[in-house]
Parts: sequence; C-alpha cells; structure tokens
Amino acid sequence: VKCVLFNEEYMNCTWGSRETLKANYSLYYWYRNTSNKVECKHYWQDQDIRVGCHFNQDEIIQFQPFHVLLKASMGGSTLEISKRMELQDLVKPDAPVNLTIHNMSNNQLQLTWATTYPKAKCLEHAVKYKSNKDTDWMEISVNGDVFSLPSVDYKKFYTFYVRSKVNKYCGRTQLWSEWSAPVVWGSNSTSKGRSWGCIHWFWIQTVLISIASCLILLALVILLVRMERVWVILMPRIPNPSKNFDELFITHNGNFQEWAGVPKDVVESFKPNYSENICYVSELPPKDSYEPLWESSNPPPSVMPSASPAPGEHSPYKNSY
Amino acid sequence: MSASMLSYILFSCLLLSVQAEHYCGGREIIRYTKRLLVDSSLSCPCRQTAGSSCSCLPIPEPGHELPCFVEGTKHMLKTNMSSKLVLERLYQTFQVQLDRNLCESLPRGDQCQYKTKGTVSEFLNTILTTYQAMNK
Repeated sequence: VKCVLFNEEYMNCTWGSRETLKANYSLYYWYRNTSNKVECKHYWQDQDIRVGCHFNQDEIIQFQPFHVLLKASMGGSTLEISKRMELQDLVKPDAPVNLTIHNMSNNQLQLTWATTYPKAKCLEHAVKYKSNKDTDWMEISVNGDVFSLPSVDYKKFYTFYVRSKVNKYCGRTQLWSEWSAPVVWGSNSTSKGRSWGCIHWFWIQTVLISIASCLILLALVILLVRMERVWVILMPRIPNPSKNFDELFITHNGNFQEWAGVPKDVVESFKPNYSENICYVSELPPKDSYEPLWESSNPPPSVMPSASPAPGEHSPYKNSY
Repeated sequence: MSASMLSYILFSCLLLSVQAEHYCGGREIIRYTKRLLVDSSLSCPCRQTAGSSCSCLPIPEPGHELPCFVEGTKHMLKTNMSSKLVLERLYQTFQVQLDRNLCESLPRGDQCQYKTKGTVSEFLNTILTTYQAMNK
C-alpha cells in the first residue's frame, strides 16, 4: 500500500491496478491512540475493482502512527496486508506558483515565488534554470523563497523552474513537488530563431553598408569628373606652351618681330646702313729673324684682303677697295 | 540607578523569562539527532546476548517524552561511541529543558513512561518526530 498526502489537503492510498490482482479489496485504518478500525469511506475504482482509497483532510492526523490493513478476498480465501506509516513523512506539496523575476542592479536577477502549502516555513526549494546557450540545467537548493542570479547576460534567454519539499525540521519526506510553470527572461524569441535572426541581420548589415559605400564613392567620382574646377585643382594640367606659339609659326611664318608686334621703324633701325669687309689680320714676325714661322710643308696663308660679299647678300660692309 | 532604568531592566528580564519558557531548541535538536542517525558507528548500548535484538531504549508514551529522552541519551553515553560530543549535547539540552521547564509544548512528566523499548534508530526517530511535530 502506497500513500501520498497531497499538500496536506487530502491523501490517496493505492495498492495496485486491475491488471495486477483481481480480487475484492477492503482497506481499514486506525491511529495509535484509537482502538477501532475504520473502513475507507471513498474507494477509487477501476472497472469495479477497488484500487485505492481517498482520505479527506479531517481523516488525516500527522505525527501519530498510521496503521492500514488491506484485505483481499478471492474465491473464499482472504489475504491481509498491514502497514504502519508516519503521514508527516508522506507529504507532497503542490508546485510553487506566481514565479516572478525582478531586475536588480549590477546585472542581477531575483526570482521570487509563492506556495499554496499551509506552512511555508516547513518548505525547502530547488531552482532549475538554463540559458539558450547552455546544454545542461543548473539546479540550486534554496531555503527561503528568493533566488538571486548574479551577472546575467542580456543577450541570452533564461528559463526558470522551481519545486518544493518539506524540510528536515517538519518531516522526513523524500517527495518533491512537481516543477512549477516556467518563467522566462531575456529575448522573446526561440533559441533557433534568435540565432538565425542574428546571422540574417549580420549579412544584411554587411551588404547594405558595402552597397551604400560604393554608391557614395561613385557619386563622388561623378561629381569630381563633372566639376572641372575641382578636377583641375586635384589634377592640374601640364602646361603646353606650343599653343601660345601657333600664331608665330603659322600666321607670321616665324617672323618674331612681326609676331611680337615690334614697330616697323624700330625693325628698320636695327638694319645696318653700311657695309664692311671682313679683314683678316695676322702677325708678322720681326725682320731679323724673318723666317716663316711655319715649318710644315703647307703653304703660308696669304695676306690678302677678304673678298667682297656675295652679291645679293645684304651686308653692311661694302667693298671699299 | 533611576526608577525608569530599574523598571526597564525588570521588564526586559520578564520578557526574556517568558521567551525562555517557549525555548524548545527544536531545530538544534533535530540537527543533532539527524547527525546521529547518519552515524553508522552507533553501537548497541545494551548488554545483550548474542543473537538477541538490541532494544533497550525507552519509546515514550505521549506526555512523558522528556524524561524518556533524558534517560535514553544518558544510557547511550555510557557506551563508547564516536559521536559522544553530540550525544552529550543532546543529553544536556534535554536535562535543562526538563529541569527548568523551558519548553511548554512538551508536557513535563516526572518519570519516563513507556510501553515498549526500541533500538537506537527507533529511539532517535522518536526524538526526531517529537520535535518535528512541535516545529510544524
């Protein structure tokens, strides 16, 4: 016979199922201080087979030895099973409720909860949590009804569960309650969705920034080319003076004076109005040692006045001889 | 010393004495008892012949817990046990509670009355259950 006291509100004792034994069961119980055995008033039935007994709160007394006697009769024979129990050691509290997360300073989270168990001071708790980046759950024992998690990561997504058990100061039970409903903190997306979103957003950022940079650069280049004033400042032209002299060579046939705009009378004034022959002069040696200064077989140069300039040649030096 | 100071001192003493009457030391006794239960070296305090069960500690009747706890822990102290310090502490606590009537939740019977005797484990579990009931 197995009995569980649920949140100290009611108790269920069970002794099997329809498949295990097909017999007529009767359960009797009594406490240490009573002498009369009392039969179960509310049986659990599984298709006409009694498989358990339900006890109301007023039928439950803790810290007194609880005796049960189960009678199984089948085909005229009766089998009796008796058991002694301490009901304070069979308490299973209800799961904690109203889990709430508070944001504290210094990246700290504080988890609080409430319980429907009538004696909250008799409970110890366990908190189970993990983030979306963790693989295993962390389970921490807590004596009060507050749990602090220091240094949380705001980029992570945390899930918390809490369960309760009667502590050693109020009983010797090993029965934990069911885990509470979860409470979450962090981003409101699933772990897979969140990681896919991060990658997606990364690529969008990269591509957008690259395209924007290229467009801006292209616009600047176009502006630069269109605005010659800016282009000339950045890329000054190599001076080519040939254009300046095109008129001299093409229009004036190389006549510098004419291109320069020198007046004609000035040009005429520079023309010589006399002619002058070229006179070659050589030095004769002294009389005493009149010897040809040259020793070579070459004939001495003749001392003669130079010939007159060729006709047609404008020379200021006319042949005066 | 002024009259107001004297009245203050008297009132504090009265308050402390009232609180002391309710001091049962339940948590401390539960911790010590659980430590003893875990200690597997606890031997039988009875002089039993070979083959007989070691059941010589009183399992008290309701209302006579304290005298039986005193008697039982005293009996255990007579044997050589590794947890003698814890046992000594338990025995002293029970003795003080009995002598000074410090715990109103426990009925103050003068003598230990019991129907059966039990083993060390049964005796310690009785202590545990008694003080857990007071805590709850």
